[in-house]
Amino acid sequence: MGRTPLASHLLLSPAALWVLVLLVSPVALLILLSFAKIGAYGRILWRFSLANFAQILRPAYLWTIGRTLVYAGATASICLLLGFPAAYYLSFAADSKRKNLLLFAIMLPFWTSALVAIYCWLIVLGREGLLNTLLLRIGFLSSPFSFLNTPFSVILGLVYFYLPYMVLPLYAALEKIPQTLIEASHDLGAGDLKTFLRVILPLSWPGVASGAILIFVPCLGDFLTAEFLGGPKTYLLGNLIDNQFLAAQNWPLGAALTVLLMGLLMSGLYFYGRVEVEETSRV
Amino acid sequence: MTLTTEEKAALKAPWGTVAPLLEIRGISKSFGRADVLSDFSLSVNPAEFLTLVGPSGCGKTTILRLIAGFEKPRSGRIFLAGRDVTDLAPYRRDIHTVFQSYALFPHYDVFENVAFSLRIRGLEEESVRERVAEALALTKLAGLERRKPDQLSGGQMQRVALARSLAGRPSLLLLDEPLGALDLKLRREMQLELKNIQRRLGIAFVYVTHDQEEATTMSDRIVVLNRGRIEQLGEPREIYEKPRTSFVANFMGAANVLEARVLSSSASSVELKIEDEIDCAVPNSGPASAAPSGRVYVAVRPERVAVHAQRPDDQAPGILARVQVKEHVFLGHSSQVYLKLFEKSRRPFWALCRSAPMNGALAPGQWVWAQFRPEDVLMLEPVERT
Repeated sequence: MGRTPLASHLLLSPAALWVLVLLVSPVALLILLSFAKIGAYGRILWRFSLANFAQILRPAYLWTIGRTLVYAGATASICLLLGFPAAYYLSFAADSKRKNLLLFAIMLPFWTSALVAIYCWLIVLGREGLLNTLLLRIGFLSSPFSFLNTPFSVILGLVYFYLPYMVLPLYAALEKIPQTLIEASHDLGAGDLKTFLRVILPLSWPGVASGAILIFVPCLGDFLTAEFLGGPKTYLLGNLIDNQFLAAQNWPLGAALTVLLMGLLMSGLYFYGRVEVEETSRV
Repeated sequence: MTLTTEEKAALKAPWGTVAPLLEIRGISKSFGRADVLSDFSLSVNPAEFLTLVGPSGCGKTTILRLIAGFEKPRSGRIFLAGRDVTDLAPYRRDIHTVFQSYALFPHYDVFENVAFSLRIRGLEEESVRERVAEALALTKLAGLERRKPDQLSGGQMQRVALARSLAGRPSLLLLDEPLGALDLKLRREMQLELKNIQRRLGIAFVYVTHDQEEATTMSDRIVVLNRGRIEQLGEPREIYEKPRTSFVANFMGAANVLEARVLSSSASSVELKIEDEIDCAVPNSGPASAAPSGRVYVAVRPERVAVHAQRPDDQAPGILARVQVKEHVFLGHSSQVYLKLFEKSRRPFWALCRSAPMNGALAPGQWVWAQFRPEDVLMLEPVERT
């Protein structure tokens, strides 16, 4: 290195300042806020209190937190079930031309505005939307069914947005499996199904884990999907926070909910890190 | 697992000849526009160690992949123990492969890697354990059961790959340059060990290598391949001592290949004029003497050429030539002497001497005597020239 510690500290200081101002201080402020009290007309009283956290533990809030965890888990699972065949096809069956086209199609949702996509889903799922019209026309339904404001519509929206986050890491993991391992498995008497169960599936586990975490974590904080495709009955933690800050003007409670969310995210990432470390020590 | 003499005898067909374990009949295979094999046939006997040897691109790995079932031939059939397996998937053939890259499963430990084919077949836990232990003992891996492949050395990985293929007790084992990644010393050890294991188990091995020494060390029979064709097939000694073509003579050991004109030939001997300079009568070893052009290639092994400072006395006759030294290379256990056989000859000619001739005092430009016996002149294929 050859540089004195002082010089390197000085050189690093702009970056440190950047992190301090834009990252550490907002989070610190948020944590402080979560222990503050709410006064009249949304005024913040800077007095230490645990009231916000006590409030979170009320059943209404706990239900929402539980619902959020269930929806996030369901989204990750459905994405895994839908994403695995797609990733498998991409890495083993498709020729390179088709592969690029399909990868492009999978990444397309990234490039459309989330709001536009949500309005599209509203058009599809609405009472007079495409889906109802179709089902009425073929006689499957006798009267329009309200798909919106249901767990179905919210999870559908979440799956739609987060599916690429499952397909891409899975595809990367499957691509890394050497062809000779599959040949070796066939050579040792394993047919396609047994080769899949005993070789391909275990070796794709890092991809499954990354995909699941990449979906589960942002699902916990998602509020747009439930806001538009769902209703009060399907509100998630993100909507709750959104509500406290913007509608209820209860910033301390919103901050406490945010701190809780951060805690959940951190533990999710911690778990992911553990899996990663385990994988790298293994491979 | 060792076959007794009676069992080996039982493998023979009643009329006394061995029924081939594997028979390749007229296989053709091409990749894109390149023909790798055309109308290729070969049979492998039970319990034999057969080596396919040849330069890279000669088709030896393709032959192995066709036998294993990873490639489908364009035409021709493959029979295993009399049954047509040409259209069978690799996992339905009683054949296992040791891959060049080992292809160990990284998510399984040594035990589970070796147990793979046994678990696939649904063997009971007890017999799985028994047969894995057997295979590990055979390959000297006992004690490493719980290691993961990434915790093994190259030599150990090679042994695991071998144990994994042997545990399933196939009737035929294919080995694709399995020792290629090992260093020379380890490779030599493994060569002897492989031969030993093969002999004890009585499993037929089809071994692929580009290393002629490896082929000679281990094989019962050697197939020398060149551009998808069999140049020569035979026992190692036969291939070394009676190469049929200049390719075989050059590839299997070193050879000085020269051109000779056939002056006359009888049933027992052929009169040759080598490089238009040396007259000699050599034993008639085959149809090469009937070359339509009247010219054939001949080979002399460098280790059969003696170098003398003085003209040797007539008690040791043979072919004698006054030659000039071009280069003298000292190798330790032996030395190579590069010679200029004739003024106009552009073909390299060299002698491999056990000890340094004339106490190593050979200098470039010096005149010496080169001597070799007529029976060491190997007649090869006719010269085809317009």
